[in-house]
Amino acid sequence: MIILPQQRLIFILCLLLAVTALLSLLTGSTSLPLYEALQQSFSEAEGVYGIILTELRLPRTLVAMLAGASLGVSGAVMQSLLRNPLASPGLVGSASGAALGAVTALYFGLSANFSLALPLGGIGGALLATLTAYLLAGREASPLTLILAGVAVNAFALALVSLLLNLAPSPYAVQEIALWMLGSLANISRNELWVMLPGTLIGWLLIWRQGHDLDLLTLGEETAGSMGVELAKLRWRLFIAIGLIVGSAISVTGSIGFIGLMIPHILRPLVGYQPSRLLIPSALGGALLLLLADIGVRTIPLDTEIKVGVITSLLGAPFFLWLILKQRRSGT
Amino acid sequence: MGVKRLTTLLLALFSLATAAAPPQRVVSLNLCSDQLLLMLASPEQVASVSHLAVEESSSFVARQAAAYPLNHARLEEIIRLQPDLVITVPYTNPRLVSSLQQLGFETYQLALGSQLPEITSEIARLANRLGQPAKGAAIIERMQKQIKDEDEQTLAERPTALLYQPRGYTSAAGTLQDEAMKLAGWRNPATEAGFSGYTAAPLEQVIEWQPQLLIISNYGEPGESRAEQLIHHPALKRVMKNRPSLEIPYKYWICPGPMLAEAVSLLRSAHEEVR
Repeated sequence: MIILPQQRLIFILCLLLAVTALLSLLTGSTSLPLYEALQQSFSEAEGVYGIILTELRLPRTLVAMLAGASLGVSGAVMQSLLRNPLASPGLVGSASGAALGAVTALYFGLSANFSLALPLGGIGGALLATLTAYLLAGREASPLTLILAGVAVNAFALALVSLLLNLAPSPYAVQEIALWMLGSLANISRNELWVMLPGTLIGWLLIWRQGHDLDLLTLGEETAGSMGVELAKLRWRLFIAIGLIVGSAISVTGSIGFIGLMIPHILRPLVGYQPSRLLIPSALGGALLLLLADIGVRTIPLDTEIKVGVITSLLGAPFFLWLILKQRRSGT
Repeated sequence: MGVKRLTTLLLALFSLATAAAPPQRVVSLNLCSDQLLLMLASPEQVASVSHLAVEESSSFVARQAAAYPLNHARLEEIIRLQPDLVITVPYTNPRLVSSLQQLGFETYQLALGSQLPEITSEIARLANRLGQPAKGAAIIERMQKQIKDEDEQTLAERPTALLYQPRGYTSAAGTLQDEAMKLAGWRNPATEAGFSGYTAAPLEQVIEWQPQLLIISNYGEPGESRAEQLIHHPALKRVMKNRPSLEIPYKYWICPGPMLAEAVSLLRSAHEEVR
């Protein structure tokens, strides 16, 4: 039986998430008369507002929540598994690996014949990149070594994406890859939701109940091993889980960075620095952050919609700098 | 000093004379200039066209173009061709154009306007430069005859049509596609909503506009771009369920030229489907 970490925090986050989700359903480029839209959604008659609500805003909101939750929780898992405050899907290369896998599936025809090629490409890419960075850095890597390994993996994955961009078969494909790399939730439909759901759920199930082992891991790998944690098994299980959830999310939304880095750091003090208590709040917090960013994107009055990945990076990069400064100060 | 001045004068006169003479080795660097050149010049005047000119899916003159050496707008290639006129477009790499000019090659830039009067005057101007004014006039006449507005509908009575492209892009005010729709008696809701150019149209707005006709135009082979799947967004599909859509090959309106009349004819024939 897993002990529910800090029910009050979870309750508050859930409440905020519910309100934000509602707000997300009400935000868009057309003003939606809610009553009419709901009426149309639940009646047989086809109506424009009903369609906008159920086919556009609802899938967009749900995908934002799922993807945000996956990114948030994967950051929390990586930081405790690698016992490294700077670990996150973006910095360790999982996200670029997922992007590479998805782009490969998209533009070289795999996804046309086989609809799961997209998420599978993303999952495979994420897994491969995460493992590469981990093996490059070594098991007891310092934060710096791990980040360097991540930089190398990131650079290589992005170089391969650029190569695909270079070779893209259609002029749309070029524009596509470029825009997709920015990360966006615009024009998402039910289909994308179904595509990302299986991998995400399986990944979450794999993480479920691993909190206790992660807690023991804070005592050091040897101690944890002596207390019955099967380290190799745990590592594989969680790496596969991260590959599944990050790959599924990124293959639908494009590259959305920094959520996995920021959210666990913001929430960690609130849960008393205990990894198991961080998992669920991180998922909720990630969902909340991505949803808020996506609402922001839809509210900023510009002719061209800003991509949501740009917003999260604009928030995340300064946060990353602040983390480095904090590290430096505590180090000296 | 007098001699020097005389030489300059003579040189100026000489270059004036060569500028006026019809060029004999013309190189075109862009799909849009390729098409006009092949339509207007006599076959022996053309030295090379761009590699895009032979693409069936985007070029209106793919068959004629196959007879000529192809270029990829690279400086070395162009020098080897020793052209006496290089036709460029506003998108041609400016560094390439200035290098060509420094090396003493004559360049001629097309304006690529999108309004019908701009297109016809561009054809006439290029025809003159190539020494083929009669050919230009004939093409313009044929084009105008084909486009001539037949319906006398007032604007309000006109049905709406929206060009909807992969990834939700549309063509609004100031584009060739918008001009063709206008000439064919359609209203473009994107233009009326204040959009201009080739721009992203939010799907929510497209659904609210409920265009009576959805126009799709594909460039290149139907590829695997995720963009191309967007047109199959379930929301758009539901709104357009009982409404017609029309595919217009991109080669009719990717570049300004007489082929725009073909797009206008296709668009005009679609009126029957919405009535």
